[in-house]
Order: sequence, then C-alpha cells, then structure tokens
Amino acid sequence: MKFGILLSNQYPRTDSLATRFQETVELVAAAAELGYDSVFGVHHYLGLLQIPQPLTLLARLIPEAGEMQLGTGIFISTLAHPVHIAEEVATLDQLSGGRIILGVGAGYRDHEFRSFGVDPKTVGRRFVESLEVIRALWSGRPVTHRGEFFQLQDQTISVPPAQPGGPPLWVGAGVPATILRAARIGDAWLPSPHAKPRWLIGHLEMFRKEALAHGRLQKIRRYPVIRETYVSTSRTQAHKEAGRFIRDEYLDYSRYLEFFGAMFDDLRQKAFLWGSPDDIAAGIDQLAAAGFDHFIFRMSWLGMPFSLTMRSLELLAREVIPRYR
Amino acid sequence: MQFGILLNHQFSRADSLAARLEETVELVTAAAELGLDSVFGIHHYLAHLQTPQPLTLLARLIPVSGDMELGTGVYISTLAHPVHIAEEVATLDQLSEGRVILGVGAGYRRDEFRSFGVNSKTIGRRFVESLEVLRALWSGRPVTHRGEFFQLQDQTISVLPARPGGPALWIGANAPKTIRRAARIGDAWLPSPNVKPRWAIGNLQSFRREAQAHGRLEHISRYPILREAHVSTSRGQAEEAGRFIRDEYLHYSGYNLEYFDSKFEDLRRKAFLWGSPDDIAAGIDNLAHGGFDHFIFRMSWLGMPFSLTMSSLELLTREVIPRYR
Repeated sequence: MKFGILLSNQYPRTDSLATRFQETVELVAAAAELGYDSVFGVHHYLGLLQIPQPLTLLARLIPEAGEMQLGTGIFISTLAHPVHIAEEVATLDQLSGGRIILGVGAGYRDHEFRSFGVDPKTVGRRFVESLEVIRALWSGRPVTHRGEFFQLQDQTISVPPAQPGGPPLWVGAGVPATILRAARIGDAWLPSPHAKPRWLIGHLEMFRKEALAHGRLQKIRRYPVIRETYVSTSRTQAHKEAGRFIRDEYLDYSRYLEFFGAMFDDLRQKAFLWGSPDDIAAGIDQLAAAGFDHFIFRMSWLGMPFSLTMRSLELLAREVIPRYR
Repeated sequence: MQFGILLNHQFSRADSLAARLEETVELVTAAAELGLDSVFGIHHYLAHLQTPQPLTLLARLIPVSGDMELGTGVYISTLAHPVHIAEEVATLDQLSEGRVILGVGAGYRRDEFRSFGVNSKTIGRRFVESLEVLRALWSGRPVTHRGEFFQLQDQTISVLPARPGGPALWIGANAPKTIRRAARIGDAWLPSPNVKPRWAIGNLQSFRREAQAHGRLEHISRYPILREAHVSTSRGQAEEAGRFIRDEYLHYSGYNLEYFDSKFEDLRRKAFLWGSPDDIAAGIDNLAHGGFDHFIFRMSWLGMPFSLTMSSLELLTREVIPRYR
C-alpha cells in the first residue's frame, strides 16, 4: 500500500506565489521525512487562479523529495506536442533517477482548447495518438509515425527516460467511456478526488474487465486514487477547521463545471476522507478492500493556512499510515 | 561587466546521463560559489546527442545556483505554443525569484520543424508573433490576439512572472537581417559562441543603429556574447582541450553546417578564447571595447573530462574575472 500527496498548486490571485512556493518546498521535505511515497502536481493553463506549471515545479522539488515518486495528477497532454512532452518528462525522469509517474488527462476547459487552437471534437483521438507517440519515443528506438495529428520520420528522442520504456502513464478518466479507454491504453486509471466510493469501486471492476478483455490486466500494476483529505480529532472538528477552504475550491471549479457547485454537500458527505484517524482509516479500508492500493491525498485548498495542512499531514503519517505498514 | 557559463548539456549517446547530470549540479554549485553571474542551458529536440530539456534542468538547478541568473542560450521558441512557453517560463521565474533570462532563437534544424509539423517557410513570422504573445501574456493583463498563427480571446496567464513584464528576451541571431530584427523586437542580441570578434563588433554596431532608428536603444541594457573558452597555464597547454571542441564541431557539421568543418581552424585561432589567463583577458578586452558586457563561456565539449572543465573554471574565476571587478 502506498500513500502520497497531491499538491494543490493553485492559489488565489492575491496570494504571494513566493510564499506559497516556500511552503510547498517545506511541505514536500516534510512529506519525504514522514515516509510518504509520492508527490503529485496539478496542471492548467490560463486559469483564474495562479497555477504554476507542474513539470517545472516537480523539477525544482527533486532535491527535497528524497525517495518519493514525483507525478502529475493530471497533466493535460492534448495541448502540447508529444515530442515536447516526451523530451521534457524524460529529462525529469533522468534528473530524478527514474521516479516519475505521468498522470495524463485530455482536458475539459473550453478556453484552453480554444487558446491552443485545438478543436475540442478531436481531443479524444488526439489524446490517444499523443500517448502512442510518447510511448514510442520513450522506447529509445527510432520512430516513424503517420497519424491523424502527428508525423514523425525516423526520429529518436534526445533523452531516453531513466525507467526502461519510460514513466508509467496513469490515465485520468471520469466517465465510463474514458475509463474503458484508460483500460486499453493506460498503465493505471487515476480517478478524480471527488468520485464517490461506490462509484469508484464499481468502475474499478469495469476497468479491470476491460483490461482483461484486451489482455492487459497483468500490465496494470497500480490502482491509485486521489482523495480530498483532512485529519483532525473528529469529523465535526475537521469540518470546523478546514471545511470552508475546500468549499471555496469547489466554488472555483463550478465556474468551469456547474456540477461541482450543486453536488458539493453530497461529495462532502460521501467522497471526502474527513475526520479522525479512525474515520480516515475506515475510508481507506473500504477502497483498499476493492483493490485501490495507492492513496494520493490532497490536503490543502484555497486560502487554507499552511499550519493546518502540516498538522493534518503529520497526523495522517503518525496515526493512519502505520496501520498499513 | 558580467560573466556566466553556458552548460553544454549535450552528451554522447554512450555517456551515462545520470553521471553527467550529477556533474552539472556540481559545476553549477561551484560556479555560484566562485562568483559567476549567470548560467545558461541549450535546447534541442530529437537530437543525435543526449540533450536534456533546459527549462526542466534549470528548475532542478535553482537550489544550487545561488544568486546567479538562469537562462537559455537559446531556447527554440517556434516549436511550442507561446501560452505554454509563457506559463513555463513564468513558473521558473517565480521559483527562482526573478532570475530568469529567456534567450530565444527561431531554430535551424529541418528534422525539428518537420517533426513538429511547422512549415519552415513560416518560421520567421512565427518567431516574431510568438514573442509578441509571450510579452503580452507576461504583462499580466487579459490578452486578445488575432494573429496569423495564434488566437487568444481575453485570456490571462495563470502565473505572473516575478520580474515585472517578464524575463528579458535575448535574441539569438547570426545574419545581418535577423540581427536587425533582434534590434527591433529583443531586449538584447545574443551572438553565437562561434562568431569572430571583428564580425561580432561590426554587427553590434548595426544592431545598435537599428535599435536607435526604432527608438529602442535605451531599452537595450545588456550586451551579452557567448564564447568558447578554455583557460590553462599557457596557449600551448590549453591544447589539452583542443580535441574535445574539435569533436563537437565535427558533430555540428552533421547538421548541414559543413561550414564549421571547413572553418574550424580559422574559428579556433580567431573566435575561441583559448590559452593563459592573459590570453583570455586580451580576448575579453577586445570584445568589451566593442561594447559587449556579459560574457557567457562554454567550457566543456564532447567527451571532455569533468576535472578539466573544473580547473578551467577555477582559473577563469581566480585569474581573469577579478581583473574586471
């Protein structure tokens, strides 16, 4: 069983980014010392919030990250050329001694597609073809590719990744069709932090069936899941301390997808890992019984004081994670 | 007067990249301690040599680079979307607290243009428009742009650069026409390491005239130049590094730059800063007299032992740079 953190590297416009970065460095150093296994970043362009680019941020965090794996949860892979993504991520994999996981998603924000001149109707096909090109390049062999979107004639990546064949590609997906696709092309399915346990467990079954049907089940070695998590003395106390920060975060999401505003209370009750160490462990147990084995916790949201995140991070590491080691 | 180094992070395919990257970290740590002012990286995709991506590499180097400026010499800005470049470089600028310089070039390798699906006939226009979009985004204001290659409707960058208006844009240019263009759109002209002093000084004058004609001369506050440099006890002794730079130029001639092959001896005598501390200082004086004020030295080439680069760097910083401080 593995445990990691998802950096919520998106901040209000009024925040000092320099201060947030100092805290991020401190948080990652603490997570490494507390024995966490992984750290992930989020990705957007032209957001309403301040959102530093995750690959650059992860490169900066390499010295503090110790032995932790470094990943994206997720990187929008439809907006940059696959040669660029392959070279950048291979460089990061080399710099970190082979510790990279590339979580990818097709994206959903219209203004991103429009600004990059990408037709939203082609995003699904572009996503699949792009991953094909990235994997081919990561083999280190010369690549000739004639696709709908990308053409390469006998080209070899400059930097072979440190991990043979390249970092694992974890595919972010939130609806049945894309989860089935993840089973056909991904090294893992990475569900969203706001998916409810019953839904997750049901769709993991479906994901596995599809992978099996395509002879890929043995290839799937990790079953990660991202969770919104806050640990305190009790569920009530947890909401009192951190509830309003996650509510503000979901309010921001609702500007892109209405769904988040309307469903917040339902998500809060069912999807979030929230409460005492026992409450958190019960939530982990339920998902672990169904097969999830790499829990990635997001532990800070818009405007939340750093000291609260640090305390929750420590409580989780001292009171919850040891139960699984 | 400022002095920096250009990291030559392109390595033979047979090299261990992990070992080269460790040396790079050590070299930059030493450069910061020895009082150098800047460190630059280079950029290519799909190259014959192992060429890690510079922005990711610079991000990793932030914690060991002290107060040095971090730059590219040059980054090929025609192959990625300007929104992507703007966000990545702004992130790097924030992480380094405003120490970034973006040296940019249009590129010249046909394999790169073809692989990225960029028509090489449009490169000049694409280059100019891309920098326009970058600068507009770096202003932090909402950008609406209707260009030949890029369209934005009321979009604001997620991450404001730490330096108001964004990092300085230094433009790599090697022909009279592109040098004049650099005077019209750049914050500085960055000449190549392999141009001869008389040529560099002559073209600096035409660069200045063009900047003045467009009312931009006051805007240009830096006059950088890249140099191949090896410092030893004497000119004869400096030949210890001769075969490594010869191999490097032999490699360039594989990219249809046969020019370098036939001109190598001429470049070696006239363009390279090579020899004793007095020899190097004479070369610097010549260029400084012509107006250059930021010398960026490339001090390692294909297969050169790390210890030789380190001894050259130490001699440079102990025996040459103090003469200008």
